[in-house]
Amino acid sequence: MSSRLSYYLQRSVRFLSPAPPVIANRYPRLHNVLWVTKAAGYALLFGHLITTYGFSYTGTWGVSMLPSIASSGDFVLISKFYRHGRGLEVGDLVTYKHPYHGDQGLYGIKRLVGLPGDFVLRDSPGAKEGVMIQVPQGHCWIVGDNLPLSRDSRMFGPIPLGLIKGKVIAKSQLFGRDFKWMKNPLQDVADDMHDEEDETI
Amino acid sequence: MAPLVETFHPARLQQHIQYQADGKVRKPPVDLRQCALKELIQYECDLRGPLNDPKSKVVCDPVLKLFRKCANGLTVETTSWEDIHDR
Amino acid sequence: MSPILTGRVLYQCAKASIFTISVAIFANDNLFEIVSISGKSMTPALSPDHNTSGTRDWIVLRKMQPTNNIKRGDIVSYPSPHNPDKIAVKRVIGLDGDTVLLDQRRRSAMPPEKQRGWDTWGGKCVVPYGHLWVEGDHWSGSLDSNHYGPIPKSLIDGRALGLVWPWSRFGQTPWTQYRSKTRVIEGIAVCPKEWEL
Repeated sequence: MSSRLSYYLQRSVRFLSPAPPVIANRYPRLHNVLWVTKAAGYALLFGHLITTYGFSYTGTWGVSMLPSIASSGDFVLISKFYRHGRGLEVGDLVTYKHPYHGDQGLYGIKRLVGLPGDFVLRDSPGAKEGVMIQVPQGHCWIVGDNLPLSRDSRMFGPIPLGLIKGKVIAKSQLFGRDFKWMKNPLQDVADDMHDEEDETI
Repeated sequence: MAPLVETFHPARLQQHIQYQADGKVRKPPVDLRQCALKELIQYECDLRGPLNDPKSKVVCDPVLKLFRKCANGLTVETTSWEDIHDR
Repeated sequence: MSPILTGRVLYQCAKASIFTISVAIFANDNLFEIVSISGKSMTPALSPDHNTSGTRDWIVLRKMQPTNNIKRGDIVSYPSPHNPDKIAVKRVIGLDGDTVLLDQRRRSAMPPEKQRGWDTWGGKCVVPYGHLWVEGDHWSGSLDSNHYGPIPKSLIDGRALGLVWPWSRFGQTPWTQYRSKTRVIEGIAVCPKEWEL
C-alpha cells in the first residue's frame, strides 16, 4: 500500500515541479515572447483584482467638487472595499457610475449626503422653501461640494447603491506629491453654536 | 431615476422621520431634538477675474448644512428645520 | 518525502490555485458569469419547478457591454436596489423613451406601503434616457421596477445568453417565447439637454 502511495506522490511531484528549461536554452526569442505574454497576462489578472476589489488611483477633472478636489491635476486614491455602499457614512466622498452615461464609462465623485431611510433637502439650502425628501430603500443621495456648479442628486434624484463603486480616501498631485487623507467633514457643531440652539424664544 | 419620492415641508419633519425607508413605522419613536447635532460645510465657488487670466482666483464661500444623527443610525438634514422647530 | 520537496509541491499548488482563482474572477467579472435563479419571480420561463422540487435553473450571462443593443424581452442581471449584495435577474419591458402602462394586477400582490408608492406613478411611467423598466415575469412576489422605478442602464452588469442547467435544456433561451402582459407604448430616447456630454 505505501509503495503505491509513494508512486503516485512521486508522479504528482514531478508533474507539479517546474519543467527543465528546454525552451529557454534552445529558442531564446520564443522564450522571451512567452515570458512577456505571461507577464502581461498576470498584470491584467492581478490589475483587475486589485483595482476592482482593492484600491485604484485615478486622475480627476471638473469643478463640481471645488475646493475639496481641484478642477484638474488632482489624483484620488479610491478604496473599493466600500463599493455598493458597504460601510459608508454621510459625509464620505464616493465614486459612482453615472446614472445617465455610466454604461458609456462615465464615473463621478460626489459627497454622500443621505443613505437609505435618511432625510435630505431636495435643493440647495435657501432655495425653493427647503423642501425635503426621504432617501428610498437601497438608494443614496449625493451632492457635489461646489453647490452652484454640481449636477448631482438634486438633478438626477437618488441613485441605487449598486452604482457606488468606492470611497475616495486620499488625494494627491501627480506621483503622490502633496498627499492628503480625505477625512469625513461631518462633525459636531462648535460649542457656542450649540448653546444658541438651546435658548428658548 | 428611482422611485417617485414625495416631498414635504420641513415643518412636518418630525412626523416623517417616524417611518423607515420601507414604509414601516420606527420603534421606538425618534425625537429629533434628542439627536446629536452635526455640521457639514459645502461651498459656492466663483471665479474672480476673467476666465482665461491665470491670475484669476477661485473663491469659495462656505455654505453651512446641519444634520442630526440619531442613535439608530438615521441621519437627517435639518438645515431648514433648525430655525423653525421651536415655534 | 523530503521537506524541500514538500515545500516545492505546496508552492506549486499555491501558485496554481491563485492563478486559477484569479482567472475565474477575471472571467466572471468581465466575460461570462453563471448564476442560479432562486425565487419564483421569473417563473415559468426560469426555475419553473422552484416551488415543487426546489430545482433551480442556472443561466450564463454575458458581462461585456451588457446593455449594447439591448432589446425589449431580454433578461438582464443587476445588483438589486433593495439589497445591492444580491443579484436580481429580470426581463427588460421598456427601453428609454417608452411609456410603460403599469400592470394593475401586480399592485394587488404588494404590501400596503408599497401600493401607496405604486399609486404615485399614476398608472404609467415614461422611462427616462439611459434607463430601463424591468419586471419579473411572475405577477406576484417580484421586486422590480414596479417597486423601485426604472433602473439606470449603468446598473446592469449582465445579459442572459442561455441556460446551462438543467442539462436537458442546455443552450436554450426559454424566455424568448414569453410575451409580457405589461403594455408598452414604444418611444424614442432623447438625451435631455442638461445631461448631454
